[in-house]
Amino acid sequence: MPSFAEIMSVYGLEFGLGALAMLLIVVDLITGRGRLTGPADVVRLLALGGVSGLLIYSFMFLHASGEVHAFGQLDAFALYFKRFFLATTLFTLLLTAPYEARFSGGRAEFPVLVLLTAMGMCMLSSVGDFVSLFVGLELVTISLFLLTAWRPGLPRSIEAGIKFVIIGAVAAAFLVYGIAFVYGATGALDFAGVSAAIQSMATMPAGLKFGLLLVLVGLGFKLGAVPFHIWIPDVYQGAPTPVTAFLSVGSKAAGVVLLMRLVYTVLGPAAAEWAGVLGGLAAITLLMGNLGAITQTDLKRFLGYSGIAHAGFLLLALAAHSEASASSILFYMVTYLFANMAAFLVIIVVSRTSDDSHMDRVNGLAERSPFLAFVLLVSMLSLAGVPPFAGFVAKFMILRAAMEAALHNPALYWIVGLSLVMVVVSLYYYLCVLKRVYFREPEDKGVLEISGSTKAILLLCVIATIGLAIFFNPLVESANAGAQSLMGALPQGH
Amino acid sequence: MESLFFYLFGGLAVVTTLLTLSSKNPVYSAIWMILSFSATAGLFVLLDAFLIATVEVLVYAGAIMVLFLFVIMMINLRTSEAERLRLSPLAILAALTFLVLFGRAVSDPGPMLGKAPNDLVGDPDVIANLMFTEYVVPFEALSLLLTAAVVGCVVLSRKKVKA
Amino acid sequence: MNELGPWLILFLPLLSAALIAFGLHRSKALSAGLSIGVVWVGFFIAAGFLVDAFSAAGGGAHGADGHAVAAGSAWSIHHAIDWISVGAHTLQYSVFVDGLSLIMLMVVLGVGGLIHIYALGYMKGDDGFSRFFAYLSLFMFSMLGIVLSDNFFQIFIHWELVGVSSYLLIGYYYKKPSASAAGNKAFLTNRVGDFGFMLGILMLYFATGTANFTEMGEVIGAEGWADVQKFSMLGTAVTNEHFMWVAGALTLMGVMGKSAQFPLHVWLPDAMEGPTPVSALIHAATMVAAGVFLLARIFFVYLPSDTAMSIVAHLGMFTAFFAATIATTQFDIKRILAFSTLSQLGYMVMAIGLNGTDVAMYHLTTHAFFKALLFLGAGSVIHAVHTNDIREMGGLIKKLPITSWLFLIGTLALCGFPWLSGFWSKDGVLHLTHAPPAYADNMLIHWLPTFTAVLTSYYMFRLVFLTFFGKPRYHGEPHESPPTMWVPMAVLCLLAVIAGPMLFTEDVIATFRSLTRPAGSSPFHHIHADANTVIHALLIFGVGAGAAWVTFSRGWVDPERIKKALGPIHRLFDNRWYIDDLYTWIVNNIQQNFARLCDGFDRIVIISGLVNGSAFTTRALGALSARYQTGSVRTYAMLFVAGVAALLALTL
Repeated sequence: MPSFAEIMSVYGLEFGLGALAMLLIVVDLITGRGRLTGPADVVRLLALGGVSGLLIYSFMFLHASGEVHAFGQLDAFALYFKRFFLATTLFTLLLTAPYEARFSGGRAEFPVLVLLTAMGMCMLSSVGDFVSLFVGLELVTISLFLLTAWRPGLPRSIEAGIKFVIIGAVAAAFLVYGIAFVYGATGALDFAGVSAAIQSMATMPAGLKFGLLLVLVGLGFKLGAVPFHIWIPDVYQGAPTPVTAFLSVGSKAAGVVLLMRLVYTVLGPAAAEWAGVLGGLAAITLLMGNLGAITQTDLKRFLGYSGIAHAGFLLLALAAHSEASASSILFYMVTYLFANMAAFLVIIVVSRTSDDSHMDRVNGLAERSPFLAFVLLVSMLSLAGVPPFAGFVAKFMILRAAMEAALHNPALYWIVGLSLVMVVVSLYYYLCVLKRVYFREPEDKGVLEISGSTKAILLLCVIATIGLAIFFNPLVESANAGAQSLMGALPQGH
Repeated sequence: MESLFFYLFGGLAVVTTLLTLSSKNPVYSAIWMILSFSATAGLFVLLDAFLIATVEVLVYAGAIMVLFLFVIMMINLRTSEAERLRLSPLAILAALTFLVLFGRAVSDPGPMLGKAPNDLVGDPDVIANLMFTEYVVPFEALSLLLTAAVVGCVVLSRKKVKA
Repeated sequence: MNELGPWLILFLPLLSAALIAFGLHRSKALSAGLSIGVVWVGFFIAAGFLVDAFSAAGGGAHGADGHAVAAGSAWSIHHAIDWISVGAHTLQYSVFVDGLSLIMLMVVLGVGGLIHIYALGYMKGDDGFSRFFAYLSLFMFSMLGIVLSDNFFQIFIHWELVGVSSYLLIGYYYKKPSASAAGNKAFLTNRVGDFGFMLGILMLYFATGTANFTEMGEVIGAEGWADVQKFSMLGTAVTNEHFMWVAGALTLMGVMGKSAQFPLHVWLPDAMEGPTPVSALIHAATMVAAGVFLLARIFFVYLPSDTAMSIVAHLGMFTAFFAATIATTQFDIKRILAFSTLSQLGYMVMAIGLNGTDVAMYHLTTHAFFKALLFLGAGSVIHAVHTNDIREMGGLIKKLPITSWLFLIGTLALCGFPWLSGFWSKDGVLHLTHAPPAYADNMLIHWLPTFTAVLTSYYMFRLVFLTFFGKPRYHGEPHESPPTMWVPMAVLCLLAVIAGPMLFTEDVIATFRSLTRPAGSSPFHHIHADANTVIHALLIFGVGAGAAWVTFSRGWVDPERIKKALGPIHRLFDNRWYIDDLYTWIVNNIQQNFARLCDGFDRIVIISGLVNGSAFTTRALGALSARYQTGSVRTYAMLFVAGVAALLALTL
């Protein structure tokens, strides 16, 4: 039986996040009294302060340890993702500030749900068994269902919420059904037990494969892998923009973290025969994501498809299945975080008056606000993977890892080739957005005023996006440490 | 004797589930579903999983289905022609594929499946112990999940307050 | 200070550029103040190092603190951080201060600092005042990165940054078509050189396995050219000597581009379209000197091969002569100075080719003083009369006394008038040419540089007589420039006068030269101001200046008659040896036709066939893939399940 101290040594951050959420409810209760202004600001500031504090804490005082408990572990990989999720949460809360005025209610509760989602995400990076995996995943998903529908006055938001719930329920059903089959075949629910059982088998029985594939379906849903991506465009478009940002980065990363844990730890050496499945998913995801993005006219939908395309890249790295590819995924997520958050914040600003995210909103942005135009330029080019930006380094790392892996698995050459073609396609649609920004006439010639805090956040994203292209070594090193601990190749620790 | 009950409950579950899907009237659907849950509870009893069987009846067939019926009646959901079950060829193909593959999976279940379960598996004592020791983390997380759901539902269903 | 100083020198200008770009640009005073301030802070830090270095070098090997290794010319500061590591290859970003880079630092920061101050007056009232200073700071950062680099990759990055910032500065008056054309020309010409430079760097890296100058020097120094490393290319063995020939030649292209050596010199005269402080900064003191500096830095690459050294020497010699002949026919005051700069850079390159790196660096230093002075003087003149054409000047000495006298002294220094700084440095170069190393011992090396020196006196005094003396031909009422402009000139003038043994005792010069003399070069030649040398210098000066005096001051000889008498030779000089026309012809006839061919191919095959075809296909596919996005949640759920079934069917 695990002691409280043991549990806290792994799930301290999650405890902090949960406690913070409860505290916010209490503060809201005491100060709120049904008013709509006032306490929301207090609550948001508390949430911001708390998450920043936890982020700082995670950098300064939390250390990876090699200890594997039955209930979970805090290895370098988990720690990397916990920090990532905390940063994502912080960005989401920051993005909420300029958006909040559009909520008709529930402003004080919004951060509570964001924090609980974050707690689920952090938990997922440490989980060591399928029960926790399912609970953590549902904590994330259910909170996000609610957040998606957070604007009841907006039919689009409600509709998105319902679609998300239904498709999410289908995915969850497959996931839990799959878990049952895995349990049935291996007799274990913890990753170590399942892994040991798999390795003791000469060939995988069909029942086990069936179960694992269904688990893959449930996680592919989070990741946005084709064909489990159908919810993405509608939900991204309908959800409040900060939630879309959270979905696109945090929820995707939740899928990534679990897939990595499963592929590298649970499947272990058996993963080689799964390269085909993952590679095939990667190929079709790259194809559909990139092609789908071309015809979009709504910015959030567009970024949804772009996110699917990025999921394709991540799957390609998973299929490569090497330490280098694992490390490249970790790096990729961070570059994706900064570029995406910047893009969504720009969307929040440009859709301030009309409250819709049609691409016409960015027409002639360069005239209305050269700064925003520049931010969008950096963000789009980084997402496209153009050299002086971090996205290039990330794509380069993935492709390099994939090429190395292709020596043993020549089928990967085809997927790498396809991904290169798709990079060109993606350049086309990202540049289409930039064409609007720089060469179209604006609908509204007025200068866009940006608040100082918004400017600061955007500047941070831009600096990070450029900085990570130049000084990528520190991040690469911690990504390498994460990948190493995941592979279990070297003694973990700090 | 046991296998007789197995086929009885199993057949009942399959038939009632199909009826749930195909009923035009949502109220009928809900009632078929209660029966389906009850049949499933019967299957659990056959496996000596008494606690789960009880929970199945109490929570699913009881609480949740009553909630469903309330909702259906409150929003006065009526049968409409458009809402009838439509089967597209793709859906049929997918379902059949799934069925075939499910068959394959069950026929090759792996070494563990089919082994006799632990005698104590259905015992509330054992489950409670596991819940508060080995699975305390997901258990606590579940409580927060419920909190999140409650908070969210309250906000979303709240009448709009004029600022 | 040794720890932090070099980093401060390097990054303060970048910080200044960023601050101005991101906010300070609203305040002109702050922008200019910051930009000037950081240069001077850097200068004083560097001056501290200079004191260290001189005391270390002068006082022999006395132990200094940790990093400053005090052993003659081995004084250095070196800090490196690992910047990018990919597998076994690690790229470092570093600051490396040794004697050579220290002298270069002093020149860049000192002369650059004075030019910054001058720009305060010159750019006053310009709309882009802050922008100008941001560009200047960016340029300083780029340039200092070259000086402080310890490896080829860092130098290449800064090499390109210098290209960019000089492009910005030359095209500063971007609304003027000729200015932006000149910016493009400078950039493109440099690209040609840089492309070769990059290939050269990669080849050297390939051959020696390191990009670090010191390590590479050790490898090449120990092995010579013949067997740096055994390797084969495309299955056939390549002898290393051939490989090194190509690598060396390509690397030299970088030098030729930046230092405007023949035949990549064409951009420099056109670059005079930029504001005059830019001309002074880039085309006198720093950017063009970067090539010479690089050559001194990578001297070891050429040292093992006499033939390579000889080629470098002859290249410099020819550029010096070639540019001087063109300068005799020009009428644009800044272009004359630009061709003069080309000519002097040729001297420096030649000196390096003759194994006289220390002499070249000394000439680089003094040249930076007086050529910056001349450019600033020219700027002052242009400021006053609003034209660049010396035919529309004349008699300005009465209106602009300070500028005129300072300009005159600068001219004397450039012409090597005894006991001014140019005398010492140019004499050092000429001394080398009179007793060259055996590999370059021929009549041309002996006499052409001396003749070029005569031409230098001639064209400079032609410029002086036409501009400052004789009948006024200017329009309007010129006024003397404000103190912000003439004070920096006066400082530069002082330096130009005393940068010989007057300020620097022979000991100091000896130390200076020992600091800048790379390992492996021959012992340096003392400069003696003996009677022979003085007479020689006076003779050169007298013949050149006398000819100018006779022609342009007295009018005893009609310039038109000289033109007629020289006929085709004059036309050759006047048309800059037709090099620009040759390039234009090549571009118009060969490149354009080739481009048309490519364009046709592009239009017919690529665009209509592949691009439009693939764009159409892509869009069609995109539309198809978005088509099932119907918005109906039932459809979604069904597709989801179908997807699961497909996945299972395909894999199970």
